[in-house]
Amino acid sequence: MMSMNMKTYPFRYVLKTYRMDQLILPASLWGLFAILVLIFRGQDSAYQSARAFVGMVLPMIAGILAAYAVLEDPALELQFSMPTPPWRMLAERLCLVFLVIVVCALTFQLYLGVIGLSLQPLGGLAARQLAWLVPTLNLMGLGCLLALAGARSIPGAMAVGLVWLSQLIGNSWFAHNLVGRYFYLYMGTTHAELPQLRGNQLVLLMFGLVYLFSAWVLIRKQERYL
Amino acid sequence: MIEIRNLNKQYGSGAQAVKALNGIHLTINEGMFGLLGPNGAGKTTLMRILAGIAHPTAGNVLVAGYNLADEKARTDYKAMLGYLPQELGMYPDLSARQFVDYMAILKGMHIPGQRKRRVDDVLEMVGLSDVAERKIKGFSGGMKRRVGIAQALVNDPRVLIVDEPTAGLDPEERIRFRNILVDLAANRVVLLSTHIVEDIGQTCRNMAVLSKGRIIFTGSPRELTELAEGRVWTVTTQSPRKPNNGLTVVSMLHLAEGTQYRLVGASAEEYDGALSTQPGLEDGYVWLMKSTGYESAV
Repeated sequence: MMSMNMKTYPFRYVLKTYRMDQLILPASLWGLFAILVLIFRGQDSAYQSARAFVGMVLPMIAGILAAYAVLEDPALELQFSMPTPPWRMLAERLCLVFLVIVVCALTFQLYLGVIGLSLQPLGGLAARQLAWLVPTLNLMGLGCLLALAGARSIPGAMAVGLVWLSQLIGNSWFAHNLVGRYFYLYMGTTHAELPQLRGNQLVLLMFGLVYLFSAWVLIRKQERYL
Repeated sequence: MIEIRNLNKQYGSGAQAVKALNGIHLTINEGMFGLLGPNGAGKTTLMRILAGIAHPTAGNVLVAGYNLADEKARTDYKAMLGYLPQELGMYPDLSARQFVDYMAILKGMHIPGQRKRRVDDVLEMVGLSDVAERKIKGFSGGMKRRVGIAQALVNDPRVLIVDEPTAGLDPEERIRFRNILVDLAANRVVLLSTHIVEDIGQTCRNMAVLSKGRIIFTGSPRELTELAEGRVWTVTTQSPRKPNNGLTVVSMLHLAEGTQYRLVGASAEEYDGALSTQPGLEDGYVWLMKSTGYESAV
C-alpha cells in the first residue's frame, strides 16, 4: 500500500466539484437585496430589507443548501467507499455551505456600511451576528437531518421552506407565545428587544446541535442513500 | 483473505421484508474470484457489504483481519480497498487525471510526488494516458469504466471489488477490460460480480453462483461446466417450433438444412437427430439454475 502521511484536504477538487447552483442562489439573492437597499436608501424600507436578508433569507438559503449538501453528489457511492469517517464527510460538506453563508452575511454588512446603512438597531456586534448565525445553524441542521431521514434532498429543503414560511407568517404569535418564543427563528431580527432572546437563541442552538447529531447518526447508514 | 459467515441481509420489515442475502458462507483467497448470478440475485448487496458501505442484518465478514461490523475497522479497511460500483457516478467537469488524483487524496495518499507517479501509472495501465487531460464528460462508456478502474487501483489495493464492470461495454472494450482485471489479480483479491457468464469463464479461477440471495454453487468454472456433462444437446430441425419439452434453448444457429438449437436439459432423445455435445460454462450455469429450481431467473 502507498504511504499515507501529512493530511491534504482536497480543497481544489472540492471547489471544482461544488455545484455552482449552490453558489448562484446565495449570490443572486445577495445581489437582489443589495440593489433593493440601494433603491430604498434613506427610507425605513432599506433597513427592513437589509435585516430581512441577513436574519431571514440567509438562514433559509443555508437550510436549503444543507439539505442538498450530502446527497446531491454524482459520485456518492464512491465517496462512501473512501476511508473517510461519516462525521468528517458530514462536517466537510456542511462547513462549505456555512462558509458561503458567512461570506454572504459579512460582505453584506460591509456593503451596508459602505452605503451608510447599519443593522445597529439589532444590538451590538455580537447580537447582530447571532441574529443570523443562530437561525442559520438551526435550519442547516434541520435541512440536513430531514434530507437524510427521507434519503432525498427534497424533504429537507421543503421542511426548511415550510418552517421558514410558517414562522414568517406567524411571527407575532411565535414572538409572544410562552412556548413558541423559544422556537422563533427570527427573534434576533424582529424582536431583539425581548428579554427572552438569549433563552431563545440557546434553545435554537441546542436544537440545531441535536439535528446535527441525528444527521451524523443517519449518515452512518450509507446504504440508505444509494 | 475474505471470510463470510452466515451473512444475511434483509431490507424492510414485516410483510414487506425482502431477504436480499440468506445465509451466505464464502471464503475468498488471493486471485480472481467471480460472483455470477442473474439480475436481482443479491450480488450488488453483497458487493456493497464487502466494500463496507452496506451493513449485514446478521452474520460476520472478515477481510484481511478487519471485522466489517466495526465502524473504525471499516474505515481503516477502506484505505486498502479498490471499489468500482455498478452505477459509476463521476464528476463530469474533472479531467481523468484530476478525478483519479482526487480519489487518491480521499484514499489517504498525501505525498504529492508519490501520488502523481501513481496516478500516471494507473492511467497508463488502463490506456488513458493520452486523454488524461480531457474532461470526463466527453468520454465514452468504456473510457469512463477505465477511469473507474484507475481510481479503484490508485491506492494499490489489496482487495479490488468490481461490480458488473462490463455491462454496457462493446465487445472490444469488454475484452480489454477483462484483460486488465486478469493482470491485476496476481497479488491481490479481485472480486468480479457479473451476470455475464463469459466474463467469469475468461478470467476467474474460482467462482460462486448467487441466486435469490443464496449461494447455490462454489468451485471453479471447469467444475460448473462439468455439471452439465450429458445434459447438453444439439437438435437441427426445419420445424418453426422451438424444442421446448423441458429443455432450455441456449442458442440458435440458422443453417441451410434448418435451425440448429443448442439445448440444456435432462434428455432430448425424443427429438430426431438429437446429439449430445460438450458443455460450456454457460450450459453449466443454465443446468445449475434448472436443476436447483432457479430456472425462471435464467
